[in-house]
Order: sequence, then structure tokens, then C-alpha cells
Amino acid sequence: MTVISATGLGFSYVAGRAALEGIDVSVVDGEALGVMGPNGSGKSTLLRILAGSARPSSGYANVAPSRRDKAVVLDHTPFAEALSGRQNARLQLAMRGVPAAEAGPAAERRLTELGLAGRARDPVSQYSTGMRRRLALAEALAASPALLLLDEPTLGLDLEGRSSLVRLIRDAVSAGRSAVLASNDPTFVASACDRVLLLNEGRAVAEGRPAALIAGLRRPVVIDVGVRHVGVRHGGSLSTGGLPDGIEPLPPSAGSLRFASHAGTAVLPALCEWMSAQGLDVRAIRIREPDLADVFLALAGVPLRVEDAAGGHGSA
Amino acid sequence: MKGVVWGLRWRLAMSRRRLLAWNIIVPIVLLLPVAASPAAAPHRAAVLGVFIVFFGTFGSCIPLVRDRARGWNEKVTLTGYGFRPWLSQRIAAEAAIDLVELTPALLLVFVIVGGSLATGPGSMVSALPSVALALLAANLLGAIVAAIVVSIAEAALACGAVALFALHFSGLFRSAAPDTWAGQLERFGVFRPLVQILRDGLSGNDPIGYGLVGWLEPLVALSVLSFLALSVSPRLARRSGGAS
Repeated sequence: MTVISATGLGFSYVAGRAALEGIDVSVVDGEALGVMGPNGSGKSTLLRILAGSARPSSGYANVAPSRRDKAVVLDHTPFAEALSGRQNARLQLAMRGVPAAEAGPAAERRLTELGLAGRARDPVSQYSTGMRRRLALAEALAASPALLLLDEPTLGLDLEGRSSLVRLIRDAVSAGRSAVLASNDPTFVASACDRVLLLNEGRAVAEGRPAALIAGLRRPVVIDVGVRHVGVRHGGSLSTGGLPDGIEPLPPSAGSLRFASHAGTAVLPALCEWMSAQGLDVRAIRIREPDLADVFLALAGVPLRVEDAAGGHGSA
Repeated sequence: MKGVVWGLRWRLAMSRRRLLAWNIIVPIVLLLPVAASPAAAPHRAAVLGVFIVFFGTFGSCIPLVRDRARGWNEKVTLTGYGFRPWLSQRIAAEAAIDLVELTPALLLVFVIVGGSLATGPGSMVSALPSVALALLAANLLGAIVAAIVVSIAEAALACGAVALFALHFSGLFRSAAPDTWAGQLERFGVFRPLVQILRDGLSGNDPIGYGLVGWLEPLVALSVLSFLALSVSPRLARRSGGAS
């Protein structure tokens, strides 16, 4: 069943400058849609329209779940600062009409899953940014809504928090719920979402399954090998003769050798053997696979995030 | 779900103990010397009237503007809680909290300065409905102003102006001649019962004198204010500004 069906969505904060233009969105039961784009691309605006807190200036959005059956986490979630995390979570459920007998255990479960059980009694005014984000997510997930609308859900979360969130979202999706997640974290979107919509300056750049979009790039995996030069027998210039099939040498950087693999990571054992034969003292191997940030850069012509412009993004 | 927002406002008010204490102490410190001064009763009543109405109007408007800016109002209504139940419970709770915070100061003013100690505690009890009506109306005015303004600075200016106009048309500063349009308007002044009990109380008279019939027109005005406030409630829940 279709949960969201939106066609030709447009929105302007200032006359003559479109924040969104001609966006089509459809989400079905048991599906997570990621919305990616740089700051100002219209991700949050799209989420606000789907949440019902902004009215599109053109097009229409048909969102099946009622307000009470949608859970929305917007970019900066406010809380009742004087109350504890537990009280805030229960309050949200009470506002949704969940009876107190059910609200208590539901809130407790989500607080525990998101690692807040130990601090649930503390006032929210004492929470860090990451804890606030966890609490906002706990509030949203505790209601077990039919549709989750999350804006920058990983903001301020550590690695453990991110993996917990991915697990919770996938659990919800497996249970037949739907989600729309606005984020510019390519690793998170690729692991949490079934489909992704790429936005740039309010317009759709591409839409599809993350794996298909990445595969469509036909980019090699980059293998970065950190070496100590004591074992190099070739006086600083390494012969790349005899490299395994599918591997090409790339220009080396300080203290490391770089290779491009057209056969993914399957060539790693052969490459390790080759390095051993060359007498290289390997200190570290980093693998950088193409991701959605590369897809965005290739299609939109601009980096997804500021740090990507300096070539700093990637997964190890 | 019933009364969730009402309960929340009370819980928040009681958890901020320092603010609660200030809200009780400041009215005592400010109102008691004014009420005890040798100035004429209508002048003292004017100061007290302005303070009470500002207490309600500012106390309603500024937190609403702040909560809208930080997205709290939007968060509450995104849960599916209706705009009107949310705002009506919030205003009712805030007016009740204002009454609790002002009661010690008013008790002291009426009982010690106004001489109502002699006429018995019943006189003070009879004054409370007029104060409660004034605080409810002031909170409604604050909500209407909050829906129009975009910042706290604007809210402060607009609250001051609107509250003073409303007090003026309720006859706090000067009673209009009954046969003029201002006199007709004054009958519907929502703060008229407050003005009456302040003048009576500070003159040393028993502030019972405001009859049931006299309440009719102010209650009509209160209904109009309630209608206006609930009509603008969706504006109060909408966070302004851009998003990425």
C-alpha cells in the first residue's frame, strides 16, 4: 500500500526563489526512503511538507497516516528542559493518546535501546547534543508510528548510536512501517534506506536503490596501504610489475601506496601476497569504496558536504 | 490525553521553583508599597491594574513566541494534539498559575492595606473571580498578540500597547460618560470587574459590590477574545524561518 504519494511538490520561502521544485515522492509500506542533498537543498522543507507543518506552494502530497500515526523528528528538537528524559518521552506518548500503562514500558524500552536508560531520570537541560538526538529518536520510535519522518537523525550521534539507529529503523521497516530519512551521511543512508532521493537546490538529481546508483558509477575501489619504508628494496621507486589482475597502481601519497581495484575487495589476499613478496612492511590498509557522496558529486557536479570538497569523506 | 497540556504547564511551573518564588515575591514587593502609599485609591488601583494585566499578558505572549521560535509548539501539535485543545489548556493553566502566584500579594493588599480584615475574609474571596477573569482575558490577549508578532521584542511592545488600550477602555484610567460611545464600549471592557474591585478594595470598601448583571458584558468580551485566540492557534504552532 502506498503511504506517501506526492507529485510536483514546490515550495518557496521567498518569492521567486524556490526551495523545492517539481519533486515527486512515493513511499510504500515497509520501505525507507533516504533524502540526501547538501545544506539548503530542500531536504527539511520536503520533510516539513510530508509532516504537514508546511503547505506546498505547488503540487500535492497525499500522506496516508494521520498526524497521530506519524512521528516527526525535525532538525533541532525542543524538549521540556526542566523535565527528565523519561518524562519527556512519556509526555510525547500521552499527547498521542497512548494510555499511561502502555506509555511507560514503551518509553523505557526505546530509552534503553538508544542507550539513555542510565540518564533517563536526569533533566534534559543536562543532556549533550547527542543525548538530545537519542531522546528525540526514542520519543519518535516509542510511539511505533506507521510513518517515521526523521531529519538529520544521525546528527551528534556516535558510531554506536548510528548503528543502533540503523538497526531500529530496519526493525521498524521489517515490521511493515515506513520511513523518510533526510541526511547527508552516505554510509547511514546506504545502510538504513531501501531507496534514496538525491536533491540539489530544490530539484531531484536522481532516485533509486543505493547499491544500483553506486554500481552505476563504475568507479574502482581505492586501496590505501600504509607502509614503513625499511623493507622497500627498490630505493623508493617500487616496481608495480606482477600486480594481481584487476589492480592498477595510483600515484602514491606520503607514507602510503594506493591502488585501484576493479574487482572490489576480492583481490585483497592476492595484493597482500604481492606486497609481502615485495618486502613491504605494511602498517595499515584502508579501503575506500565509492558511496552515495560520489554518486551525488558525479550527478550534481557539487560535493554533498563541505568536507567532501576537500576529499575528506569516505569509509575505512 | 485529556488535560495533558494543562498538567504539563503545572508540572513545569512547579519544577521551576526559583522562577515560581520570584513570581510570588516580586508582586508582593512591588504592589504592597504602592497599595500602602498615601496616593488616591483610583491612582493606586491604576498601578495595580496595569501590573496584574501585564503579568498575564506578557506571561502568556512571550513564552508562546519563544516556544514557537524553538519549535516546541510545532512539536506538540505534530503529535496530533489539536491546536485548539492545546492552546485552550495552555491559556487556562497559565491563567490559573498566574492567579496562584498573585494571590499572596493581593491577599496582603486587600487584607492589610484595604482594611478588608475588618469586613472578613469573604470579601477577598469575592474579589478573586474578578482577578481570575482579568488574568484569563490577559492571557488570551497575550496569545492573540503572539500570533501576530514575530519576535520577543515585538511581543513586548505590542503586549504593552494592547494591554494599556484594553485597560483604558475598561475605565481604569478615566471613566467615560455613560451616554458616549466610549461609555458604551466601557460596559464591554473585559477588565471592568477588576477595575471595580481594585477601586473598592483600595478605598477600604468591601469589594463585593460588582453584581452578577455587571459581569454579563465582560463575559461577552471574554468569549470574543477566546474565539479570536482559538482562531489564530494554528499560527502559533507554525515555526517561522527557513529549512534546508
